[in-house]
Amino acid sequence: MNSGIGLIVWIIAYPFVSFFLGVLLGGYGRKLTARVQRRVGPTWIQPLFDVIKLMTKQTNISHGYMHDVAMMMLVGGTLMTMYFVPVPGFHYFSQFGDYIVVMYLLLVPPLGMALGVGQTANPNGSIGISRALQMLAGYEITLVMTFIGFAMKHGTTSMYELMKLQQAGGPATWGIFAEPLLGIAALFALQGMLNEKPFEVIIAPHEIATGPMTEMGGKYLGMMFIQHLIALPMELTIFMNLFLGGAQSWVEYVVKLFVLFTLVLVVNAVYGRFKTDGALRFFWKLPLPLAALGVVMIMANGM
Amino acid sequence: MSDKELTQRSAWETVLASLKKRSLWMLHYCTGCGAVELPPTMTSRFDMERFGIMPMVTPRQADILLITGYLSVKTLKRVILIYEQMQAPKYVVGFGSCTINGGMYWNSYATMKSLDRYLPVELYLAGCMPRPEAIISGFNSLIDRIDRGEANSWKDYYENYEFYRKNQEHTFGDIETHRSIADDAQYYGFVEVTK
Amino acid sequence: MSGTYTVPTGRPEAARGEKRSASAIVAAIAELGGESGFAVKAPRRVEGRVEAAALHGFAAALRMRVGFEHLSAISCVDWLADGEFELVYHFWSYRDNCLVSAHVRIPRDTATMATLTDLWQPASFFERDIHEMFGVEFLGNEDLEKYILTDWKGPPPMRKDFVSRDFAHDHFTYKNYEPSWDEMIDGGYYSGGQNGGQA
Repeated sequence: MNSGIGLIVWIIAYPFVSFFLGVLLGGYGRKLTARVQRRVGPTWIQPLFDVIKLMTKQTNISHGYMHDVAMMMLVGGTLMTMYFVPVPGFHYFSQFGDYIVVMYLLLVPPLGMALGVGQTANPNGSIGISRALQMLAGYEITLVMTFIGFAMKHGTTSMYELMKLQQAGGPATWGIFAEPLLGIAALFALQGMLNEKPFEVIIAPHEIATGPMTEMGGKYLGMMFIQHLIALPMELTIFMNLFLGGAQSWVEYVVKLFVLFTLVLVVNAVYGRFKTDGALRFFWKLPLPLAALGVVMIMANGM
Repeated sequence: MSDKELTQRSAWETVLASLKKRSLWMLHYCTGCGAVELPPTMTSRFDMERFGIMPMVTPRQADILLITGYLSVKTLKRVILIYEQMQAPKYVVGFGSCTINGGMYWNSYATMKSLDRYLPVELYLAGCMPRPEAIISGFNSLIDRIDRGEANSWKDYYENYEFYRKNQEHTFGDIETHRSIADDAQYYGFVEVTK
Repeated sequence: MSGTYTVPTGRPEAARGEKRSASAIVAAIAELGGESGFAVKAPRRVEGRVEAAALHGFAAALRMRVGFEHLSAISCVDWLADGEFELVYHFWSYRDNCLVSAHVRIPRDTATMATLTDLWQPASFFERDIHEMFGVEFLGNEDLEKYILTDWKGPPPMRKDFVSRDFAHDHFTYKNYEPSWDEMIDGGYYSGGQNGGQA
């Protein structure tokens, strides 16, 4: 799938595969949360129904040009990032862009969202965006720190190379076992990146009425849902490639996705929400020093 | 729109309706005592989410506007503003006998009596107050109506706006709403362009 | 006891000191002169009547010289048979933990009263409410806008001669659960009040 006609087919099919995975993961998430709370929960493909409902709404209120363009940035940015993350059998683009490119591209969707929400001029939306950018300062620094440690240890910044090295060495060389400090720090960061509780300060329905999504309805909200569903497996894959040795087959890939997401969800299901400053303080107090310590240990071993 | 047009749907619309009915988001306007019946409806005892019904917090995202209990004249104005911000198709569900005919506030000077004179009500949940079973049952019948393509009461607001507007003005005097209903009706294709 | 009492800022001197009994407070009110109708009603309640014209001066003196520095509420009673409104001013002392209620009677048809907003800014809220519900004019209060009944056009609804039921039946329309055949043909599910089915 990395050359010729297979590559072209895969480039076209990949967004749909990713969306399908996202629907399964999202539905699984809602079902699992419901089960933890002793509810029956919705069907397994509930996100698909939601997206269909939103995309077929008869009214779509646009607040202006930027509002429309922002949705393109949101989905486009996520799709672009997605191609640079290697999955089993598809790593064509990862030779052109390493993890630093992915980090950079991951910032495009929040930026697009900020522009679009700015146009809607809803104060709740602006608060949500400012919180989103504030949270970036929390989990992004931790993520970058953990990645620096890995890049120093293995001497490469390519996500595909890191994945291959771990696969060659077996489970003992997986990031989370070889460097547990970095792994634990990154787990916290993943919780923040997926915007799950206790770091769910951006959406916070009871405080700021779903923040950036306040003024979105119909197709606009549908686009945000699609973006979320595509980004969900992608963000999990980034963590998986760095710390769980990636995956060699699609079965392994899907199993690892669901196991990892379950870990995130059980925390999400039972915790309350941090205040914004509390979340940031937490990130800088626990995961960031952990990651820094991990980096220091790698440096000490290298000398 | 005649009855014949309502019942004749293309196959695509039928399929879409059966998908759309699986996802309904509800904005609950909790003015009255009926609000206490909603937490058990949402949480583990009755679990509304198994039908795909979720609480939503802004009118832009919501499909159902649930009016739980009496509306005073002052709050009715806000409800009308909220309703006009919602995106079609939208369904108003009147909850409790207060919205039907005033309920226990039938002789109060400050609460309005029949909600369907101000907004097109899709469904009433009778009772003072309806138990969570009644809410679930009511939402299920709403889902059935959507599936059969009969839940079209929201169109009435745009087709017979004079009726609703007259009643609103009778209660409030001149009220300023932020949306032009005439433009919206034109957008939905309910009126001929006459200008 | 005139209305020309100037109000100094800060806590009055009389608001500090030992706790007094209710009878001591009655004596202190009698010392002010003018008003002598105050009596102990309960261990922590003192009650009495004040003339409408004298209330402002009484309230100022009560605050500055007796130490009742908190106006906790103003309430209003409609005595329809007497043709009078009774305004009840509730003053509270943090020194004595005691409530003084001053009852003022004003004529119902020319219901005007001097405002207390120059002594207690929060009085504006109570006066606004009473103005809305009973139609009492408070002279000197500049903010008597509608508060709860924003779109109200009828008479003040808390007056005893306001019949809520008649008003509701005139202004709102009820559902007719047994419509006649011509009403059903008309699409008229509604019976209509006195204005014939309009709203």
